[in-house]
Amino acid sequence: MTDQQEQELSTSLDSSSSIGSSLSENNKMYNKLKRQGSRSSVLATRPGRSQSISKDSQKQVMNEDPDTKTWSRHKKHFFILSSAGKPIWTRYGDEAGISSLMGVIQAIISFFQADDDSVKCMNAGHHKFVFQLKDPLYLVAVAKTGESEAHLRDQLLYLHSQILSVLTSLQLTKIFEQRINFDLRRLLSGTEVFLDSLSTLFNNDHGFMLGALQCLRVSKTLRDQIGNALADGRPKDLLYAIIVSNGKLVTLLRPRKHSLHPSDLHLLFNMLTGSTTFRTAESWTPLCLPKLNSKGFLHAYICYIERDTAVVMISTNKDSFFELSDWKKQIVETLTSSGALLKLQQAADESYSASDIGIPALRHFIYKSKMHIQFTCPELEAPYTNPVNRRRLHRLYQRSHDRLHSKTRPLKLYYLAGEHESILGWITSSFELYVVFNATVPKSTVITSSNHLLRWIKKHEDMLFILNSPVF
Amino acid sequence: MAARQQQQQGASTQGKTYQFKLVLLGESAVGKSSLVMRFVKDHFDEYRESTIGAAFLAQTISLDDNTTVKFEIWDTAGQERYKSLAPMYYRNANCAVVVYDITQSASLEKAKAWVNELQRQADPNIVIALAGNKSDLDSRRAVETETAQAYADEAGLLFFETSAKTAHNVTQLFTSIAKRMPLDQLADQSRNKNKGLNPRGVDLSRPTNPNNCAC
Ligand SMILES: Nc1nc2c(ncn2[C@@H]2O[C@H](COP(=O)(O)OP(=O)(O)O)[C@@H](O)[C@H]2O)c(=O)[nH]1
Ligand SMILES: [Mg+2]
Repeated sequence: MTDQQEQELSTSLDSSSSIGSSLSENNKMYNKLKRQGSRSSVLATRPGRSQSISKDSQKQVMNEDPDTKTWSRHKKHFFILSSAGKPIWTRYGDEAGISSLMGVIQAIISFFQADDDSVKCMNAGHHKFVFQLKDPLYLVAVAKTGESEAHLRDQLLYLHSQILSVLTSLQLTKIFEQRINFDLRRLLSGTEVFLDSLSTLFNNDHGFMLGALQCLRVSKTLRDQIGNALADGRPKDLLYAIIVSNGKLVTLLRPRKHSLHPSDLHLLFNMLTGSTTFRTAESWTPLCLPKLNSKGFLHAYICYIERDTAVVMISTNKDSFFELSDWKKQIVETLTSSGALLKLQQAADESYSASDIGIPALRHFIYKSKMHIQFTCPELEAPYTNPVNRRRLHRLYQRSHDRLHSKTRPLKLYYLAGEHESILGWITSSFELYVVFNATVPKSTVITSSNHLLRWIKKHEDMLFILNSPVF
Repeated sequence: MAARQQQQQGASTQGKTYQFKLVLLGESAVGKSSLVMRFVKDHFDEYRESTIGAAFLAQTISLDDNTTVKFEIWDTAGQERYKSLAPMYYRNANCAVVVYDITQSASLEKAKAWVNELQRQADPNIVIALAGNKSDLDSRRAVETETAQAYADEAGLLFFETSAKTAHNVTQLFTSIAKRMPLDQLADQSRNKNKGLNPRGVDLSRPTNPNNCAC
């Protein structure tokens, strides 16, 4: 890509920025209403968001034309458009307001396609443009977050999967075969909240990058007790039954032959966090789990059984709601009378933190068990309860992960002593470990303390991970 | 339908609980979920999120000292992509609330389409109520009360203007439906179990289903 093209591209992005910023208060209200408060509720749980812009970007914002501030201040944009160039969803602002920008993106993509080539990634100034061409959809990330192409590409894939989970690949293809200019927003309406909340989760939840699930730390006895309650009286069309607390997996019942792909589970968990409607009733919805089968619908029963605990049941039969509902009642009875439900809520309330482990200068860590495709990490403590620090930590994990998984030159060990903290990344055949220490800690201590941490994890393995989930 | 006047006195015997399946239909964002929340939890959310698929809730009201009615409610999402699933929810319904938003005249047209579909496809004895919701937004009214009332009369529907926000007419809406239900036909039918999305396995030709348990 030539310099001139880059120049044009960033100019067109800037000029379209004003569209977003000129959104009147009315339009914003419309946007909010359109998503029925979704964004406000998603954002409300992340109170620090607006302050979480780093000094660096504040500087950039100040250099910008004030007219373009609000919209272009965001460090990462996602756009989804149809291959005909119709806007489908945007992370910020109103889809209707970005038509001209979508036109530009579509033009770039077809420019390369005309050459039988496809554009994957471009850098323009501080911005990285990443394209996922998933006919009939195009997904684009424009980021100045410093995230790698691979990570942004993954994130676009998750967004794509989210759309499939609402429509299936079969329907999606059919719709656009019939009408190339179809406005897909109509069919997605009400589920934009899930794309919104995915985008937010990418910046908070390590599970997307790791391709693994976080488990709730509970005693083995309690986990088994809950697993046993699920193993009893299972309706015949049931495929999976899952208990989730605070976005963390408690237990999962599955057929011996069909494990659930982490990506599909992420979509399910994101549904729970992405919309509050599930908290007020028993819900029943068609749902596609793209990794399991992108072509067909399954049916999900979703119900909260405690303040932060939900059960999700996936069935192959669209008529099985009442069977599942009755089964849920039975499970809740069992778990209530044994006291397990109460204990579970307590476990959800009192997750562990790094300081509990008793390793000096240890601030935070992520440990992924490769065999179980699960990870564990402590709750964030100071200084990472501050949004700026939290965001920096997240980017640090991403950078380490990216270095270790580099396509051209993967590493087994990665050490970075930064101004604010130091990090050790370590990959073996059985785990991935990322450990963060105070910046002042010498490298030798980092090594011994990390080994100490590994012993602690090994010792508590059966609390931190689901080692054997119930199967049928 | 319009001509059918059911008297519930005499129909009920000592301390009976009747159970009805109710479905809410209407365009998305007219306030279906909000009406149910007001009815079931007496709560209103300024920023309700769209229903995903359908939501199931239950609420019990007493009509008089001897008669309790339990509504099992399907709150549907009303979005285009779920359109083909709607029959699954109204197929076995004894009653339906079709909702429009008084500030959106197009939503009344959508409501009429739902009423037509119900009258063609649902149980012939289904009791249908039309609810013109968001009556608190009178200043932005786009549908006159008389217009909707005339339509409701003609189509044989119960009609209320409601506000989930202020609770105006919400209880009245559900109580009137309960009173319109043919309670006397129910007395000796008994409860079956689980068939399809019909919780109690009632035959399509039998609209209602009594339940003696005091649940
Ligand atoms: N002013 C006003 N707003 C309402 C009323 N009922 C619902 N709403 C709002 O309208 C929007 C859509 O409501 P919702 O119940 O989700 O509609 P549904 O899609 O039909 O279930 C929400 O923002 C509600 O807060 C009402 O009676 N008055
Ligand atoms: Mg709703």
